[in-house]
Amino acid sequence: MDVLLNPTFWLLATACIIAMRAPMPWPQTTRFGVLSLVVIGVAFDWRASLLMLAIGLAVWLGLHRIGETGAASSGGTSLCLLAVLFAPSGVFVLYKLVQTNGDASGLPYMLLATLSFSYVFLRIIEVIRVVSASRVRLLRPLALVGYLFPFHMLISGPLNVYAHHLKMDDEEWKPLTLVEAAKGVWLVVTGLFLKVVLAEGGRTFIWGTEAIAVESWTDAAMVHAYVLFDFGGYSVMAFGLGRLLGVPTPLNFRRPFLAGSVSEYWRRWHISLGDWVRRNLFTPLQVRLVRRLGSQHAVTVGVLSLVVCFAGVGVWHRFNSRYLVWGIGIGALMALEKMAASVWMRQSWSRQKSLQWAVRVVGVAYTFFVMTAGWMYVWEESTQ
Amino acid sequence: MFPMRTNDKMIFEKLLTVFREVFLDEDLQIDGSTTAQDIPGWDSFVHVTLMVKVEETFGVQFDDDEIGGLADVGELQQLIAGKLG
Repeated sequence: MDVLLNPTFWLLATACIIAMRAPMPWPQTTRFGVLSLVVIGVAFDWRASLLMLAIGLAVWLGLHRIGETGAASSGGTSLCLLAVLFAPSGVFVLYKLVQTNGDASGLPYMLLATLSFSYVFLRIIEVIRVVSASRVRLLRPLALVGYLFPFHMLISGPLNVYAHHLKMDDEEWKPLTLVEAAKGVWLVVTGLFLKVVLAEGGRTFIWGTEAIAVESWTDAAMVHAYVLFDFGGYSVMAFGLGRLLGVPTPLNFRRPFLAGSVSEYWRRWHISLGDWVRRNLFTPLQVRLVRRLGSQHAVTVGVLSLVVCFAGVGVWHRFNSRYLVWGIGIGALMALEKMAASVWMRQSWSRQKSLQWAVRVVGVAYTFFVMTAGWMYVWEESTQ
Repeated sequence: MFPMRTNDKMIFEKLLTVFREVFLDEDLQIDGSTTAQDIPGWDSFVHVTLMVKVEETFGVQFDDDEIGGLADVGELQQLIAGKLG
């Protein structure tokens, strides 16, 4: 995330804002794709840019082929779909295995990481799902690169929505107004403040120059706050940059420490990941299972889908048993909360304002405790 | 607000029955502008159950993005009307 503290990045970003906001005949999505390749090439490594272009082209070719053969041959379509889906999945698994067990350095690792970096992988899955359903058009190759590798959302998200990215081309060109520019700059400055002053300043104040260590509950609570300011600050910067560029960039955090349940926490913390899971995993899985088994099994199916999806979120973070257990635990907790909420809402006394307020306060404390404990469980290993 | 046509009225009445059944509330009231925020317990978990019940009731099928992209009850009503032709 330190790239956002690099002056070269900001000079390039400013040039991109000017280029994106100038009246030009190129579609906005294509323009953004080209600019993303240039920024990555100049600020990071030109080989990464080339690889991004190659990946974008490969995904585009696969999906284009599906579109062409779709009507003529369902067998060919399925084969293309499987190839486009399993090639990135296979490389993603390899990347995660190397990251966890192997030598996570050097050029091969860098190339592997670019190809299968977690957020890029999730975007590939989304574009495959949406386009193969044949209802949404496939972007042109360079434009698709811009969706898969948006330079301001590349390092740590947020995860942009494919359908929203497409809409950039439908909107009529309008110049950046002073008010819009001021709002965007304000967001970027706020993000920098969160990242530099609150996250890094706080970290130096608490841990000095030593590495962060999670050895006690207090440590875990402080690391939880540190990650919020660090990741949240980065996300606010990306959000502000997105507004300046005119590129749809979702909000990623909304006061997560005020969440009254684990379910609500995931609607406030890393929001774009939660939305991605809902769009691409939870809803499709739950819908198919409920249709197949019948709505009388909806609760069982819902619980199963939640556990499976959060187990996936766990191993998406890192391939190890701790993250898997963490994901299953979060999914199971959320399922328990849903059942408790369903019982609670059926009681007439649950409508008393004072009781609702008390439950809210207890809920906020419970959520912070449970989530801190969960993060402590997975961070303990990574900080050792 | 414009008066509802017979078909719209039939759809709405059936929808109301489904909503009351799913949310276990016989007194539940909805209208075109009702959203998930207005009904306690209407979250992504229950949403799928609701939509599958709607599919079963009307004999239609929604795709994933239609299920996930609805803004309010009015939009659901229009979607059903469109599928019923």
